[in-house]
Amino acid sequence: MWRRFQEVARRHPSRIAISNESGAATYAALAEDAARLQQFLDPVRLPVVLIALPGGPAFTMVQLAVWGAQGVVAPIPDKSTEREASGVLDLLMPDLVVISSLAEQRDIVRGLSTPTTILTLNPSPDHECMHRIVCLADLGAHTAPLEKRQPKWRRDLPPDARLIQFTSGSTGQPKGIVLSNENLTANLDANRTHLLQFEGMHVFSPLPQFHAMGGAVVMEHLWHGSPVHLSNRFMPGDDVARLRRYECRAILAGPHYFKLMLRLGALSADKMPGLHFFTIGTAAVEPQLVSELHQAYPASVVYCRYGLSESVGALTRMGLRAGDHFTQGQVGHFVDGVECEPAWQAQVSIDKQANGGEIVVRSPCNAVGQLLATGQCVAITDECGFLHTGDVGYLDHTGGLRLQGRLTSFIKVNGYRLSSLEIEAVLKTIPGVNEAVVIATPDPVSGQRIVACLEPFPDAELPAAAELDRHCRSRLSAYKLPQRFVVFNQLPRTHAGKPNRPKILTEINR
Amino acid sequence: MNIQTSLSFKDELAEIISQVVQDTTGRMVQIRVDDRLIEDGYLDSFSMINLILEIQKTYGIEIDVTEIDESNFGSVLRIADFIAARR
Repeated sequence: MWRRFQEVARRHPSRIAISNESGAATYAALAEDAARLQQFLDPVRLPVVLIALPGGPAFTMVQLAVWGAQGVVAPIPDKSTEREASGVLDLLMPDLVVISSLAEQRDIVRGLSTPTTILTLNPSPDHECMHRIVCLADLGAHTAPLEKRQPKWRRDLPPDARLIQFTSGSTGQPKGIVLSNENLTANLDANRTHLLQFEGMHVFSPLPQFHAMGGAVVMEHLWHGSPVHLSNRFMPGDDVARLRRYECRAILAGPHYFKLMLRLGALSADKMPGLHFFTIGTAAVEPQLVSELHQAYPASVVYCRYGLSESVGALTRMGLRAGDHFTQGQVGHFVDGVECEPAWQAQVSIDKQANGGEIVVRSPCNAVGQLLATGQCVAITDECGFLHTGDVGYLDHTGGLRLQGRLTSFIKVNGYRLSSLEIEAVLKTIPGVNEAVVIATPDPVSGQRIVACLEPFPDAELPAAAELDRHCRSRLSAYKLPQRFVVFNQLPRTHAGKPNRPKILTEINR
Repeated sequence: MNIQTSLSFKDELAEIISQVVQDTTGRMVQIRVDDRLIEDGYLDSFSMINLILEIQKTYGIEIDVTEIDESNFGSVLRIADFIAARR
């Protein structure tokens, strides 16, 4: 990844590579600063570096430096709490922790239970603590090099490991997905034709860079000569100003961001005439949202992509133009290099949507392993290299993938197996609904009870329960109807902005 | 009374923002006039939009999306100055 970046930087040294709210860096500046930091890291073999920085130039520069030193980066949210940070730090035992400032990120420092080297981007007053504090601006020939820590499990980390992507995991414990240099470069190669259309084009993303899709978006575009502008906080006026300043032609974001910006009137040809591409990740997208984007920009292309933290980048992608037929669940064709497991393909080809099965795929982008709480790194694919995604779907007559939900999101009511995704799709068509999540709660008679959790748009009022029921009744069979509606002012969400299902379940059980 | 110099106006605004955060997220917060609303994690995207709606309703002003930026909405003091300039 480092060598590939250097090649791009040599071709476009003075081109802006990446920006955020605090500033911008050219390709040459990123490469030079990374090379300087790399000298500090070089004495350590396979350095493991935890990055707790907002997305942008500094984050990317540190990532490049670590990759230049053949090391591993592990990004976490820069605003992690002490509890969140300590969970990751105890698992990772990094050689170096990179933060913006000691004063602003005390919680992360408190999460370190043993002496560690901390690199800060901003100078801080003398700080009495057990850690070694190094300021980026002070790094030079006189600086003592980084020293390696010796956690017992490090020998298990593959030598070409480059990125540990933390996800919340189904247990609530951090789950560290280990990605290799080959995984990262394979993602660039698999999407090369698609990404080259953006070459030289400025793109904008409010996705957090620590997040799987946010991080992938930066790598995919930056490494193809397409400058990336990141936003780390929801200030739509600032976003509009930067979109205009850099004449961005594409936005890559989650559905929530597009919905809010449409609602605020920010996405209109009057305000931002240059936009032409919208990429929405990372799962099934609502047709209504695609339609609204096409209404605002009739000539635009809306890309939907489906991917998982366990595999770098997108497994599938589809581009939609105004007028294209699109229904909920469509996520397009598999990108180059992704193979379906023959048994799954045979099953879903016969049974179609009646009995879609767990999607099982092999790809050079599938992660090489996962860090366990014991510190071991174990494979996440089966003996044939296939990843069992936990998502359920089938292939339509064009060979395109149709998502039906998560294995765990299927609900059993009175013997019927239901997809929460199908019910959620209907709930999202209720006027005023911004987000809908279907949760199953235990029921002594039917097995499980369907609870619809709704989040209205800030300025919207939802109909009464009887009207909600009528809306669903006109679109769903009786056995699929929610038995209870719960309206949240705001659904609990993860750091990445997705609905937090375990927390929602806790809330409705209160 | 001059709204620009009124301490009670800023306190009132801090109270409104605290209430919006509580109504939107369920979090009980007591925002002070010099707190950083985004940086310190008080306002997320939903709370921000609810705050814009509340300010428009309470103070009878129209806010364009391009005005929702750090210089106008980064703190209670900045919001107070923004409203004062618009009234």
